[in-house]
This record gives sequence, C-alpha cells and structure tokens, in this order.
Amino acid sequence: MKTWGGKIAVVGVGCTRFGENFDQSYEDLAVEAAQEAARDAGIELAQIDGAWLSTAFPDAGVWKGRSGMDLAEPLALWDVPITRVSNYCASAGDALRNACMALLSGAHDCVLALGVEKLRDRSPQESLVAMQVETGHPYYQKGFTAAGTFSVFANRHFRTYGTTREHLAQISVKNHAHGVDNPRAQYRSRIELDDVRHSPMVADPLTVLDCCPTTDGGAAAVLMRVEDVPSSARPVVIRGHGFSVSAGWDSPFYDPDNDFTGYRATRVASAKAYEEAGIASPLDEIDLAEAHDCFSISELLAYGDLGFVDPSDSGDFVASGASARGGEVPFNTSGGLLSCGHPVGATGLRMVHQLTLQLRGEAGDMQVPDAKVGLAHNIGGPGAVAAVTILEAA
Amino acid sequence: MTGILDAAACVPRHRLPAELVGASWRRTARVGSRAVANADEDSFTLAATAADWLLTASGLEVDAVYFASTTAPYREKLISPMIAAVADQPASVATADFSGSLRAGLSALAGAADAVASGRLRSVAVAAADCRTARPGAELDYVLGDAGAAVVVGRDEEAIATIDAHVTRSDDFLHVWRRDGDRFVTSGDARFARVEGYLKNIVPVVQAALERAGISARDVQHAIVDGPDASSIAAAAKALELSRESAVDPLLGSIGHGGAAHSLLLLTGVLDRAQPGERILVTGYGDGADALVLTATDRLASRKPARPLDEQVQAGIELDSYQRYLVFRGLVAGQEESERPFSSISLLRRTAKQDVRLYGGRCRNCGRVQYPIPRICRNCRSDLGFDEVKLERRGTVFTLTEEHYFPSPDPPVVVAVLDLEGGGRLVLQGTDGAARDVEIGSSVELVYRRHHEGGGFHNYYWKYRTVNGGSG
Repeated sequence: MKTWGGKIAVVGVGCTRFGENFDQSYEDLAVEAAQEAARDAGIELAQIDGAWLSTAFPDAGVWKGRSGMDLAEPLALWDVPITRVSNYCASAGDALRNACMALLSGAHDCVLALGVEKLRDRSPQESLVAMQVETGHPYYQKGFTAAGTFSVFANRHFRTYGTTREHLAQISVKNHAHGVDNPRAQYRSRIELDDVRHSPMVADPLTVLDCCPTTDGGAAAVLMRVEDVPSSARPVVIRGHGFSVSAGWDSPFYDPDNDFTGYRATRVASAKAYEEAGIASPLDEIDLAEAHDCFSISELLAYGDLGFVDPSDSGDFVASGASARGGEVPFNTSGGLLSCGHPVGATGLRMVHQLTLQLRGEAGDMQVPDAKVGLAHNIGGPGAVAAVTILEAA
Repeated sequence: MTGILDAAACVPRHRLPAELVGASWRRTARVGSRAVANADEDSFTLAATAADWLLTASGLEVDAVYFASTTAPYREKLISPMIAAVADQPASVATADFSGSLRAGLSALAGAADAVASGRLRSVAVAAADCRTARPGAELDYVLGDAGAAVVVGRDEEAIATIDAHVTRSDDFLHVWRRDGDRFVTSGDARFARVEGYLKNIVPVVQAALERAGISARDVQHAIVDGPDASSIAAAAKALELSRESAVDPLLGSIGHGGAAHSLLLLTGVLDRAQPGERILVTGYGDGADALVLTATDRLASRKPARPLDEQVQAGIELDSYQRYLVFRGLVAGQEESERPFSSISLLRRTAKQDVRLYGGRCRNCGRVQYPIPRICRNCRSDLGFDEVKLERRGTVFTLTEEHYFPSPDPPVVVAVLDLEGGGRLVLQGTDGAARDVEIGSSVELVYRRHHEGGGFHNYYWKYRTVNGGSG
C-alpha cells in the first residue's frame, strides 16, 4: 500500500549558516531556521499546529533539545503538540517523517519539522569524541570514535572490491569544491587530493579531511498536504519516503553475517522510497542527491546501497566524475556534510532545504540545470538507521 | 606427597634495553634488557593470563586459587577471586592472596602443598606476578623485571614433578623494601646485604632442603638459585658446591628479576626441558629464604608446553624510548584517557560471565553463536533463549582501524572486529604492538587487560594481540 504518493508538500524551508556559530545559542539557531521557513512558506509561526524537533545530542552541551519544550519556548509556540525526535544522525529525517505522518493522518494541517544542534559550546574533542570515550558500555566497542566505526567499513570495502584510499579522497575533494558555492557551508575552499592524504590521520584510512567537522546549525521545513498549499507558495512534493532501523548500536559489529561493505538500513529505506515514488532506475530517474557523507566512505557506500551502481563500481563512480556537479547524478551539490558540517539533528532537514532550492531552480551557483527529482539520504548510528526521501519539483 | 601438575609463565612482550636506561640518564652503557609490563598490564593481568593459559586450555578446575605479589593492583580487595573468574573457576574455589615478600610465590606454593598434603584440597593454582617500579635511573631500574607465573599443585600421582622437600627460614632483614605510600622499591647496601642477608639465609636453607630430600648438591640437575644479582647468585652456587651445569640462567639480563613470581617463572622454564628423574632445586630469597627439592616424574615426558618460557623470553618488543616506559608506568603524563569514562559495578556484575569468563550464547533455535548474548536471536528472531558457550581465546581479524583520536597512554588505539574460532564475533582493542603487526586476516589471541579507570576502579576486559611475539 502506498502511503506517500505525492500527497505532502514542502511549502517552506529555512537553514542557518552552518559553522562554529559562537555568536548563536541553541535557541537562536532554532528561531532563525523556523522564521526563515515560515517566511518562505508565507505563513505566520502561529499557524503551525504541530511540530517535531530533532536534536540528537542534547547532553553534549547546553542541555537544550531534550523535549518539545525546547522548541516551544524560543518560538513562543504554545498550546500545540511538539515532539522531540531522536534517532542519532538520522533524527531530522525522522522528524520529517513524523511531521508528514501527522498530515497524512489528517490530525494536523500545517506542521513544522525543525532540526537544531548546538555542539560548539564545547571543543570538538569534548563533544562527540568525549561521548564515545565517556559514555556507552564500559567495554563494548570501547576504542571506537565515530570515524572508526566507518573506517572498519572502508578497510573491508577496500579488501572486497579493490576500492582505494584515492577514491575516498576524491569524494572529499569533490564535496569541498561543491561547498565553495554554498553560502551556508562551514568550509568554502577547494582542497586537493594531497591535502586529504596529508591531513592528520583520524581513524585509518580516514584523515581529518575525510571527516565532517563539528558544527552548529539549524534547518527547518514547513509542510502541508498538497491540496492545502496556498497559491502564493512554491512547494516541492514528497514523492516517496522510506525509513528503516535495520541494526542497533552494537549489532553491526557483532553480527557474524555483516560483510562491512554497505548498510542494510539504506538498502531497505531506499527500496521503500523507490517503491513509493515509482522509481525503477535511480541512475536514470534521479537528477541529484544529498547523501550522508559524514565521512567520505559513507558517500561511497551510499552509491551502492542506494542502487546507483553496483557496490563493486562505487570507486569508479566517483573517479569518473559521475557524482560531481555536471556529472550524471551530482551528489552533495551543497558540499555535503564534509563542507557544510554536521549539526547532527539538523542535517537531514538541511538536505531537504538544499533539494528544495535546487528543484525550484533557486540554488544559485550550486544549481543543477533542469533538476526535477532529488534524493535525500540521511543515516544514523553506525549506518543502522536510514531515511530516504524523494522530492520532486511541483 | 604432593607435586606440580602443570606450570606456565607469562612474560610481558615489551623490553626495556639497559642501553636505553643508561643513555637516558647519561650513565655508562650496559648490556641486557628487562621485561616491562605494557600500560594495560599489571601483576593481576600477568598472573591471570598465566593461570588462564594453564586452566582454560585444559578445562581444569581447581579447589583453590592463590595469588602472590608485592604489587597487587588493589591495596584493599582480594586479587585471587579475579584470577579465578578469568580462569573460569567455580564459586566453590578457595582464594587467598600472599604478599609483602619476594618469597610470597613460594609461600603460596608451600600453603598449597600443605593443603593438598592434608587432604583438605585436591589441587591449587598458585599464580604469582610482580610489576615493581624502581626509581628511574637508579640501579634497580636495570634489574627489576615484570613477570607472571602459575603452577598447579596437586597429588603426586598426577604430578609432572614431585615436591620432595620444602624448607624455609625467616629473617627480619631489610634488603629491599617499599614503605606504605612509597612509589619505588628501595634497596639497602648491596655488599652488606649479600653477605649478611642473602648468603646467610640462602646457603643454610638449601643445605637443609637437600638434606631433607636425602640428596647432595651434586645430585641436582637444575638449580634455580634466586638472588638479587648475578654475582650474589654465583657466590651462593659456589658456596653450595652446585655444579656449573646445573645452574639455571636467572634471566636477569634478559627479562630482569620478576619479584615474587621469579622462582616459579624459572621453574616453568626448567619443566619445559627437564627429563624424568632429574632433580630440581628451587629457591626464593627475601625476608629469609625458601628452598624446595623436586623430582621430575615420567609424566613430564609426555608434557607439551603450550607456551615455552624460552619463546616468551625471546619474543620481546624493544621500547624505542625511555619516555614510553615512563608513560607505561604512569611516571609522566601520557595522552590521558578521559577522566570520566562510564562504568557501573552493577552493570558489570550482570554480564560478568560473558565479559570476564568470556561466554557467548548459542541460539536454541538456529544454533548461531552470539556475543554479547541477546535476549531474542538477532539471526532467526527466536525467543527460545541461548545456551552459554565458552568462547575461544583465538580468532581472526575481519576488519580493523587505528584510532588516533581515542585517548590512550599507548596511541594509536587499534580496534578490530574479530571472528573467534568456534564462533562468535566481537570488537576488541589491540595491544602489545597490534597496531604494527595485525591486519585483516591476521590470527590473534585474546588477553585480559586493564581497560580504563571508569567508576574509580580498575576496569579489565579482553584485548587481542599477535599470536607470536610480534616484530621488534
């Protein structure tokens, strides 16, 4: 049974500058993203009758983002249901899904999905690295940082398919080049293959430039049922969506069947999204993608898991330029997580923001000509959770 | 009558070359090296590893586990139950720690032998280890070695060597000591101590033991003469008229003096090569002296030592800087681990069997071995439950990475996904040079190590390392 089928529209989007926003609090980021999305949708914030707040790591800093209260308070959005959503780095994709479900149920008419993460009130080492040093099971997986949990996939992909360190560096070089044209990106300078190779090792084979930085930011979308969209708006339509929790925090690493060459969650979620959207051949039918490149390897795995190429050809796919702007299917025209940065709970909605601009033809220097269908791919945990959303120009 | 049923030594892989100590303190260069514990090793892990090697491979259950050391990692908390847990011994096991003296290993052995002789206990594992720290650059910095050894004491009809005599002497003599609160071992006037403390105890105790065994010095084929240094040992051997051929290399120039474990460690080496019928003299010195006479039995001929001492002595990884040694011992700040790693006594208690004894679960429906043991099978989704299975201490690396940003005294932290022989996949940190010597497909062994200090107590867990000694 198809649930989505183009019934929901993204009516307005907002996105703060991503970066080390030392001048902005959690609340500042939330308000900026929400106000921009409301303006873009042509509505007042007070018209929102339900909201889903995505913050992955509220305890990494300012203690904000633990519940819906932390969105109600800065927006003065009182007397409506607001739910905090947390699904690791896929939290924003999940907030979007929940917001859409509320519209599809008929219980709500105008909803807000908003993701915000304030990480840089602490140093990078004290936020996400410290999380894995200080918390979690005293023994299981102890020693991994987030980078390491992806590196073990890279090393196995190398061994299985002959993918190389060079292929990963090409992804980072490509996404940094894309980021130059994104005014909201944290990094806006080109890098060379040698820069990636010679930057400090984080978790072999990933160097600093294979890893997204620690970032503050907020992103938001106002959503309505297609029939309710005001005539003044410039909506894009959600043609399909798939969401899957296909593993846990530990299970990918303790499962003897895991071959460490891809993520089942992405395969399941994309299959569902393609079915909903009626997409048979992603390579031919999708014009551009925002894929979850928290590390260079994760974009490479996405090529295969999303069905654009056979996993054995993932290295060639980037090497050929197919995933660069001007290529067959540009991946991460925004600069991706590698350039934009990764305010964890905001990232999935930042992708929706980027695709909305692209599908409206408003992406400026980032614009992909004639972009009609875009894919957002947002994963969480050790590839355990995935949200895949297919957006289409109205 | 009692005897030794089996024995195993555990020598740390790292070596501190004497040349490096000398150069670091601008002293005359000296030859040799000493074994030093890695940052994640201590006297408990060394003793537990030796005991685990002895007991787990054979599936042997003993009636008691004794621990002997002058450097237990807890001042208040018994170590022997920790060893019994790692070696998967039942709750009925008797436990006791022996401490304070370099003779503690032989005191524990005497206690074990007496308990077996009395018929109260059938077999006792005696695990001894020491990690003594010298004042950096001082004479003892060239001498003290870190080591562990374990022996199983039982009835003589099952023994590879019978204990024919055990004589002890007590002497309130300050030779080496460490006051409460001292970080480093102190040594008195060496020449005075040799004459007055060492020779006046070691010579008569050996003579008494030989007499009790009804043999003379010339009947001894393997003489383990414990002592503070090579020349003292030579002086004792000469005074006792022990034959030159019987002298067992005290290994002071290769691994150093292993404290309370040293005599037992040397005994494991003798048992690796002795022939049935040969007489073995074992001595221990400190606050008096102990001497034992053993006779190798016919059972020794069929014994195949799993980890010969010689191989362990030779399998050293030389430290490339004195600074690394100081970091290992916590004498200078390394790249410290976070001050607040999470740990929980109740959490660890719930999973002690799977995490300390290393058990996985075999699904009662699909048969898949899983670790940690889930409630519902992740493979077939059955809720029929799991049968506990003891996991092997050997495996193969499926994938791995080097973590350069995870804080560690010995960076980089290496983390690998391992497939264990006999089933089970798990994630462990590597140690003892694994960063250099292990890749996808490498065979590795599991060793129990200190993991972190979360919760304000020592957190121990399994790590992996190369099966052989690794490269230099």
